Amino acid sequence: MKPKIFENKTVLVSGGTGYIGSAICREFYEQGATVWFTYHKNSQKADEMMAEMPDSNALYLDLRDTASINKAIEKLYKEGITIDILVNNAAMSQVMPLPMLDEEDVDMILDINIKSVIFLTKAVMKGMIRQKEGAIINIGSIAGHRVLEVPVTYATTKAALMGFTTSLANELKRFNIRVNMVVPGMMEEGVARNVPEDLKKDFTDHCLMQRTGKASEVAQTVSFLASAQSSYINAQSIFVDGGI
Amino acid sequence: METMLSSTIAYCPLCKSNEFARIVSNAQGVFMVRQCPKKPDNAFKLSSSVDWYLRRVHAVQPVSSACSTERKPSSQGCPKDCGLCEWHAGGLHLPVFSITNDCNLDCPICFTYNRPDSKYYKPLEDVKKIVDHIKRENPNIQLVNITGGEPTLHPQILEILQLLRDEGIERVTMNTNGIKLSADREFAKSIKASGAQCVLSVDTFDPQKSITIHGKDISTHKRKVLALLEELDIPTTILSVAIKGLNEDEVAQIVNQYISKPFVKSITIQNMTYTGQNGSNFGSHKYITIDEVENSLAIEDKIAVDDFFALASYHPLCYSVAYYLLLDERLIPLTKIFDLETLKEMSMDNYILEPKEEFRQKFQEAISILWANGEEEDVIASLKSFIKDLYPSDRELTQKQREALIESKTKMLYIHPHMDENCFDLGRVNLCGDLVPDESGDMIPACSYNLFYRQKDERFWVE
Repeated sequence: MKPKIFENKTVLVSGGTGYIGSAICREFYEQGATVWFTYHKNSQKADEMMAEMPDSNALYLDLRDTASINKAIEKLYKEGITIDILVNNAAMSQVMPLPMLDEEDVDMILDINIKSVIFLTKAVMKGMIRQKEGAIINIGSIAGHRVLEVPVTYATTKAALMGFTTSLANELKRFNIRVNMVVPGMMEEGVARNVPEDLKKDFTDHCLMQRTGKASEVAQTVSFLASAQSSYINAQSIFVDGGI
Repeated sequence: METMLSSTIAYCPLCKSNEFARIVSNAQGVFMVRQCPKKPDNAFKLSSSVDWYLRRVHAVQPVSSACSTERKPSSQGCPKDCGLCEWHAGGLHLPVFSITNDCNLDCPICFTYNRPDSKYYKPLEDVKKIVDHIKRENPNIQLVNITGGEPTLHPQILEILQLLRDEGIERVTMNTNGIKLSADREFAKSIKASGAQCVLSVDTFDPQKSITIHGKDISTHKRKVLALLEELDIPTTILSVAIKGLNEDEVAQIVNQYISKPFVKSITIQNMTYTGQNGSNFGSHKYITIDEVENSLAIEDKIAVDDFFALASYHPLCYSVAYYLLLDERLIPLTKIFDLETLKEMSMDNYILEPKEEFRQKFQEAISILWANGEEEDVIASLKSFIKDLYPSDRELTQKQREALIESKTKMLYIHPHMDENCFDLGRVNLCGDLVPDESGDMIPACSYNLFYRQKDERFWVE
């Protein structure tokens, strides 16, 4: 039984039905937070999560549709709900060499991995500015920071999140809103499922921990960065990669 | 029922000496009541609204840190030790000095003294001494106001303006009735070239009222000179004297008509004070209070009572100020953007609001709060457009250019009641930052100067 340090706090996790997203939801839920998570395609998983975590809230959202993001968050405000903790977790990747990429492929990944992060954050931080308190945690990727055999677009967007994190932390510092990033390494599941075995082995061979990571290990770091225990940590990227 | 609010030291016009005064409130407003045995019932109205007075005057008022290093010892007590004395609490924010006693008008409302029998034009070397004196008192001073008489009649006015610029005074303002400017276009162009800002008196456009106020009808001159200043884009402050029962409604119209004009940088409304060679005998000695002026200005959608606050570093009864951003032809009061504490901090030790670099941080914070609190979309859109102008993506601006741009969009509206003997209050004069420097090394609060010192200076008056 974990201490309920997020009691009376509301957290919103984008892409909550994914491997890492669901772990983050679970972590906050176990620590007493009111959990909201967005989903798009995987409604079955969303139902399962709500069954697993009674009183959690699933929010159907097409993150490529900025108007629907604004509408959904405005609806929460109208219901008197302000998000205290935002976890920008939703992302997509497409294994495809650059010569094969068309404009619509690039638009798709930029829209979901960058644009939706900006506009979801903008909508949610409105309430945080009003209450002069909040925490935002962006989920990056080792792909944005190390030389790895990963899709160029995915690496580009995840690297961009670092700039987003530091500059937003600067902009929101005066409102007592901290912005940090968690950078997972190779995970057991999720995006890593598409990674060929030889590359996975190459990664673990060079990882100090000699293994892939678990979603719960990322989730615990996220909850730490959202908690008062990390009150002096701001504009940082915390690598949860086993040591590369 | 009367309520005692506070007390102060006033001045008795009959006894010609300081005397104790109570500040009391009743159903009619707030009054300063002097304790004079010769005239016991002499209440001077400070405000019509008790609530306004308590909010404005009883609020925390930051006091200047820009004080002189050289002060005279106080021996006879205020206001007799001016120079400044060691008891003066205000800093130097607006130095104002006369460069001549010559004037081409003889206005019945004039609150100063100018002897017509012996013309005086301040020599350039004395102006230089005064500038040195000002810089010793406040090395950061950016603003100097020259007055008269009518400064444009000084034969070396252009040299004086040049001297002040050469001495590094960034903002030189020159009071004028505009008559010479309206008559001499080339002279007006020279003023434009000097970089000086004109402080043009505009009290009425009504011919009959103009005769009452100025002694003759100069309303046509006023319209003409305003058109010329606008055409030449000479930065201008309009200075209007509000006289209760005579022109206060028209002053409100003038403010609303001109505040949005690009060439008008600020408007100052002075209440009528009954002192000086002519002003002492003018009219029926009716006074208009700050809150009454604020209310009178709110005749259109442009200006609201809530736009005003007490200027930091001054006594709250001396300056009420409203700052605006003029964006997309809409006046956005800075009280809507910033909280009062921030505004006072930004205007601290300054007569004008200067767009220094820290403005950017505060502006960014303020518009985030405005947006978060659901401000109207068109206001947010105007602010966004303003930020785009300040930080264009297709070229770079220097800090100076950026400051100039902010200044070009900033409008300042001052309500500035002077004091005469009837309302003289040592509490107010003690904080005064509008100081009259002299080449001898004296520095006298403007109201004390007008009431007690100028008529003793034979360059300006002989009893």
